[in-house]
Amino acid sequence: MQKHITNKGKVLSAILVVAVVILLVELVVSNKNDEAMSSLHNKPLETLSVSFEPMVGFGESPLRHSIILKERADKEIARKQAVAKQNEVDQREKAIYLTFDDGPSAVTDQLIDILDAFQMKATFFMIGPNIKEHTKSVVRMKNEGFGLGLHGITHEAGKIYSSPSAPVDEMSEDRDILQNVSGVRSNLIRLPYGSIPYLTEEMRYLLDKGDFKVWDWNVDSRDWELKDRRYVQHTKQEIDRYMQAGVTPVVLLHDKPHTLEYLPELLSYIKKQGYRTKVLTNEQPPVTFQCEGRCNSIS
Amino acid sequence: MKRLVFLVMILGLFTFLSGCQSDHKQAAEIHEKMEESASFEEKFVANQKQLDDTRKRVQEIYQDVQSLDFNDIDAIKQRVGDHELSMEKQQLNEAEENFQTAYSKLMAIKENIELIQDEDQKKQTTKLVTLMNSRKKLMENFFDTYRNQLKSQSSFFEHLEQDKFELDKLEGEIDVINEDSLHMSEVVEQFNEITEQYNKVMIDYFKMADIS
Repeated sequence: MQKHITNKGKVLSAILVVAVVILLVELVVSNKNDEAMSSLHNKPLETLSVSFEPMVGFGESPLRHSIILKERADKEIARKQAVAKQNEVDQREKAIYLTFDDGPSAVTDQLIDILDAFQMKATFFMIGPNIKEHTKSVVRMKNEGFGLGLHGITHEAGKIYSSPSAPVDEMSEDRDILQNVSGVRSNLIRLPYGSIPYLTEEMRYLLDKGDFKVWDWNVDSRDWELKDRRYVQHTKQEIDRYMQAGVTPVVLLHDKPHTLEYLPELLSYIKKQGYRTKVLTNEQPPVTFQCEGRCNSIS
Repeated sequence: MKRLVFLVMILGLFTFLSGCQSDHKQAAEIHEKMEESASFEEKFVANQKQLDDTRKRVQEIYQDVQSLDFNDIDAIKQRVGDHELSMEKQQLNEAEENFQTAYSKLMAIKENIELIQDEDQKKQTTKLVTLMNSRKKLMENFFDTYRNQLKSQSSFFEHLEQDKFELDKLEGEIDVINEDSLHMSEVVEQFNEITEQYNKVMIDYFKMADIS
């Protein structure tokens, strides 16, 4: 049996043949690509194994230490010049600076009463927790124009000198306490037991950066040691000695009952000599003991 | 009628097979472009290793200088890392150039992605582009931070060279250098995570496209 293919059928058959041919060609080409592809492999991207170490050790390095010493030496020259200038003014006025450490205390109001009675001024270097305990006395000091300074928080050598930043940390805390109580922001500080020997150059540098003025003294009343009338006698002699030498006395006293007991005698003498008491200010160049090789870390 | 059904089926098969063939062709081209991009990535990784070595040398110089007294000005001047820092700058530029080239080469696969018909394959390749863009963004951040750090390092050594021993400035520069180091470490960590994701997506894609 023979079947006739119509014209339409012929056209469709031709399309079919062409399609099959194209498909076969594509498959052949594809196979070739696959073969080529099989020789390739997908290499993953490498991750970065690099490190970024911080530049450590600068804080303790000899270079930094030597720079601190240089900066401190430069500042010391400037401080000495400023102190000398202030001293000239103070000498003309027969000025004397009375300073009381460790307060405020239960006897602070009595102390202020005594000073008031002699119409004299003084500067108080106060301990943070004591300020919180005797806020009224602190406000009275401020209202009556006494000098307000800082004496740290712990008053323990083992703590306040325990690390390079410990003094600045304690004084900063004390400064905040005083400011909260009195509204006065004081930069005047006195280190417990004085800045020699435990206040290292590094500590001085950090205090300086914190804008603190380290105040020591040149007349130690020794009230803390003698605890009786003898301290008055000793202080009178020292004041005279310094006055004669042309150096304005900065007298170390303490906010303690035994100091108060004989204080009128001392103040009476100061008045009789015609000396004028003044308060320390943030702007004043401080009288500070210099290390000169005598400072060492407590730890 | 039977003939017509048969013809439609054949044409359908033809169309299907042609589609497969087209995706396969795109995959082959993508593969080629990625390989090209990867060759620049390799150079970029090599640059990063060089930078790592140079950084270590700069660290040694820094440690040396730290151990000196500021009065030993001559010794300090001899040690400052001018040479190493300029080398680091050059290596950083090369690294950036290679990374940018790798990125541009990879981005050329976008035109192939448009022609992919299989939705899954399209999705995977689009992910590749997205991940590469994230890597680029991170690297740009890295290069900016690195340049900033080099500026601080140059300034640090310049101050020492010019006898400007101001502790505040020197310490400020060290702080910036260390902050930048920390930041770059974090950026590299993220970059590596994304690179791993990229590698995984790439493998998955080529498996899908039957090229592996």
